[in-house]
Amino acid sequence: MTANTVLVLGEERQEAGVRRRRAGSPIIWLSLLVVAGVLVMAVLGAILAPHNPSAQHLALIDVTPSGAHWLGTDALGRDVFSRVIAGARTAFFGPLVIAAASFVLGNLLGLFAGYRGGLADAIIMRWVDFMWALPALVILIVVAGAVGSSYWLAVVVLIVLTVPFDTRVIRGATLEQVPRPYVEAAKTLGVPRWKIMLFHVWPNVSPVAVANTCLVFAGSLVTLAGLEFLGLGLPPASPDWGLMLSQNEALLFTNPLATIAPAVMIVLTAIAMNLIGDWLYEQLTSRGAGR
Amino acid sequence: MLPKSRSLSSRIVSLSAVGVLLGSCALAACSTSSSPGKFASGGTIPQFTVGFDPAVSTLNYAKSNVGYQLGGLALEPLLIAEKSGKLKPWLAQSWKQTSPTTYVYNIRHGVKFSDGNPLTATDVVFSLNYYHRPGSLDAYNFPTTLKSITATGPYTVTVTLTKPDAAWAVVPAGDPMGIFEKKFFEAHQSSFGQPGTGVVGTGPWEFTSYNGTSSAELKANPHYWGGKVKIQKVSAQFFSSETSEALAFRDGEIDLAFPIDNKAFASTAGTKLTAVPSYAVQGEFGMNTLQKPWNNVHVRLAVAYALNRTALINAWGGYADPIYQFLTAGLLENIGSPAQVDSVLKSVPTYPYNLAKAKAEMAQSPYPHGVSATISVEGAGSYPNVSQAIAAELARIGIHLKLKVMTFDQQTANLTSGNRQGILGCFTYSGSVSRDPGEAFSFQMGKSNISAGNWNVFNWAPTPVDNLINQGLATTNNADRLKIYGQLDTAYAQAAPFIPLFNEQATVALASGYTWPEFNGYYYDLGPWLLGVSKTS
Amino acid sequence: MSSRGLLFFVLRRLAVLAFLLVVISFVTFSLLYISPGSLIDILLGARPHTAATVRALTREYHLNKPFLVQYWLWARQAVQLHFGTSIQTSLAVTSEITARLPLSMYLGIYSFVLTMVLGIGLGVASALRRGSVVDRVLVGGAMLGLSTPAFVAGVALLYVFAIRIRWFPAYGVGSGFFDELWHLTLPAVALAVTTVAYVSRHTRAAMIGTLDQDYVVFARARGLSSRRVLYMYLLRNALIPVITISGVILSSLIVGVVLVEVAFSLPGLGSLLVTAATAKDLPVLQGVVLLFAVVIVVANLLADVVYMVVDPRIRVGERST
Repeated sequence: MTANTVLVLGEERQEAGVRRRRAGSPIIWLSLLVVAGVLVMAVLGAILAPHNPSAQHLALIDVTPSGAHWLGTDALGRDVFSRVIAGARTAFFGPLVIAAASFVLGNLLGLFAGYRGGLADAIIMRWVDFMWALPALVILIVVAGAVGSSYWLAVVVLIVLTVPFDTRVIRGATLEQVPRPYVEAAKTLGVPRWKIMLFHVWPNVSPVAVANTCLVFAGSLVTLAGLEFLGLGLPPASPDWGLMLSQNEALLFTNPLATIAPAVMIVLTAIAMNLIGDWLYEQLTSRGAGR
Repeated sequence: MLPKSRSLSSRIVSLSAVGVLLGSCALAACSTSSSPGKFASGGTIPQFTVGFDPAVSTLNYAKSNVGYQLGGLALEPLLIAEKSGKLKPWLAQSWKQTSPTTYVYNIRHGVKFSDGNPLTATDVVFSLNYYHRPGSLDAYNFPTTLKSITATGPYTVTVTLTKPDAAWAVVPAGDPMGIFEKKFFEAHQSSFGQPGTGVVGTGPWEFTSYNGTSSAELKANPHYWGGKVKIQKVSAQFFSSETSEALAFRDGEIDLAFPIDNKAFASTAGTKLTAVPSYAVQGEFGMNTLQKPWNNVHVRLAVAYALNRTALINAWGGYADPIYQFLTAGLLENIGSPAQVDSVLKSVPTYPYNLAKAKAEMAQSPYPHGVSATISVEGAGSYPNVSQAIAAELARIGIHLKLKVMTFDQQTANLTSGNRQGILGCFTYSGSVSRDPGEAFSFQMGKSNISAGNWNVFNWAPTPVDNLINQGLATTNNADRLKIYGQLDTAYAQAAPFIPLFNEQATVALASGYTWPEFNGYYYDLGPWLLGVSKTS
Repeated sequence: MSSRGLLFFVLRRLAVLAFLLVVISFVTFSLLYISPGSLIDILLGARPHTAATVRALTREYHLNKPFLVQYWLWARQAVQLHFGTSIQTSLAVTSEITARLPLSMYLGIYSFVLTMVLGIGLGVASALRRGSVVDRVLVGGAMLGLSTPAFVAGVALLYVFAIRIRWFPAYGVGSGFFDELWHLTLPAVALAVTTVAYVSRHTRAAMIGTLDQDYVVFARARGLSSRRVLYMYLLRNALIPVITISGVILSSLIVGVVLVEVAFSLPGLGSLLVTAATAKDLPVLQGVVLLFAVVIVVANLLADVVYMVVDPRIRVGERST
């Protein structure tokens, strides 16, 4: 899914000059609010939750929503609302780590490939091409099957799978910059190559990089949630949106909110991040930095 | 042990269904000839659909044990065991123990396979030897004392043992010993039992199609020796999750299902399950007595007091009855009257839920301020739920459990590991191997089972206990045996290497309009079990 | 492009394809060794650990031979579509796969058709009414679709259409073409949510780009009917970018098939992969992975060829940048 949006963004650039979402657009404020809310839930977690998310009230198994349990309870009598809040942690930090790591690695590789060109570029791009169309979730499933289920292992594997996307985008943006006069000027002034790359070229491609990172975040959130849904990530007791979705599927008749709430959270967070990425891209490029 | 699905648990439960006591009928050469016709009451049923979860991937019992329930509709055993445990003739019209180590079975005349060929001793011998051959997944249903199974006449099968073993008597009874046609096997050697090929037996139904991922269709066997079958067509639908099976039941697409996660099934399917008490499957919290902190008896007794069975049964999904002894009254009643059993069990200490007492025990342990430990949990069915509930309850007395999730195979490897000290404690769910109290859970008792590949996962077997175990099997005097098992229960209660928690009930979901009066915890020993289902009148 | 050029191009890509498959098969084979625990124990699963079974497995998997020899022997078998037997069911991996392949293919093709028809249709509709309410709704819907993973869509559709208003069956695959179509509609829609959104966004962007091109403006100025302009110039040019994203669509569909089959409890390749992973059934895992790899690699080759044929501007070997 990361790939999807990245590509679409590239195409939509041709649309420059068409209606843009301005900073004041309520949709963007809403998206920022959602992400900020999830961040707060992820950091504070249990402090915010009205109940201990792991506490079982076995006398109160899958009760429907009430004043005490806003979203009811699950098959073990755990408060669904509290578990949704606690679930923000794995939903947020894994994708954050993936986005950050792939930001750093992808930018370095992309800059290097784009600026340097030649054999290095060819090798890096061959590798990127190879990784390009790999179905990330399938690879995570296979790794979990061969090595065993682990959330952080999945995060590491996702970093490896995501770096090519960043690399590809940054390389493309770098290629556009290289023939520009300021690069020529820096070269003639004898500025070292790494300095040109990092301090001259990168600031000009960074808008793309930042926007792309939001999309990577949304993509990894969805992929990780999928892995949890399949039961191949976290241990079963963990509060996690993807895991809750599959574990509470059997409660669709008794307390459907236990299934719907985590589903809504996944989609809401992903869409907010995607919108922010889109918006950032438009904002930053329209300031004239990118083009 | 640790059966993942009902098919697995039925395998274990029916290993040797009845045990020593019930063998007496065999010794006395019962030769009543009953016909299965007695089941067939009520009107004709043109079509009946049974749900299975997971899919039955093969009907070759030597290769997998998922097929007994479905295969049992077409493959019949030599004998069957009734609810009371009494053995009855089925494909064998009569049988006789001719010497302490020899059993002779007389095959019923006139029985035909569904393809019209007659059943002879050759088929029986071939089938049983096929199941018994090394590497067969059905092999361990045979005792190690088995020497040979041979045809000694066109309708006579002789079984020879290396030494007297009362456990043999019940082996030919039950689904895992379904007899198939040798000729059919030989014509389909490489694909026997597999989807597309299936099996040919003498049972009331024959397979007309079999797809390993979605369904199997059966029709009434026109040659059935038991007469006309009421259910004309049986359709077996396979499901890969119990939720979808329950939805199908809700929509009336299936008429019968054996739920595993009973509560979720009942609520999704919108039905009430038929549930009957059973002593066959027992949930326990096991602790490795070689490992800290479980090696301290006060910790174990604290655990005994801290576990609230009502809550744990809730976490299991209901459909279970609490138990407070290792060898339960239900088991002991196989060798004594309820009153006798009561008087024996009266003196056995029990630990009803009591947090204050639990904390007092903890205070006497080396960990008055708490301790942490790791337990394993199989990540399937209700195991995680119960394990999480146990962790929550023990946290209240300062025992903080970390749950290590394992697959079925990993859990089996953990529990039967050669490194006995490394076995992690866990909530286990054991199927009995016999109805005899001395045999039922013998696999988890005694010194001999503290070794690689064996199931005394508590690694607890003091010499006096080993002596009690041996004495219990050495005598046939029921009063003496009862007393011995009372002492055994007391020994287990005092040391508490594991905490007996509940007996799972046997459950079935049956669509309205049908009835299954004989349904009980041992229905799979009844031969073609579906004969018991009829229309409500 | 000349047919000779195309031939060379295809041959070159075939060589790359073969190389990729060797790499993938090697990695796939190595899964057995990456996996912690004794190889014999993994392959035995729940089967009894006896001298006879160990001997049989050692022979079957050539465990006493060097690693590379094992790989060679395994690969030779794999080429002939023999991947050993499933640890869980003891059936041949090939028959496990062929039993489930039709369902997954049906589902995949159904979703692919939905993706193309709806994705391109909505994208074109959106582009032609740029800035209108319809456009905004469609753009917003596409964003929602892109952010909705197949399993969420699956559970939501199941709840609404199978449990609440019962328009579609909630389980099962049906028998016969139309019954299957009926049963697989909800799963296929769930699967297509992401890809439809993706294709429609892409088509919209490409269409808008093309609408502004001089030749379109010129064609319109010449007085060609907008319908003819649409067919002759717009669609053809807008479709080319869709081909470039076919690899991503395919990988999205494969991921989606896994999630949707689990969400709807359908016995297809995806649920086989997940059960195999859960039960550490490595031979099955290897078989399914290799199949997916072949599908992806071959589909990418086909996409390249189609791209070459449709867009003559592209020179050989310059697809990827």
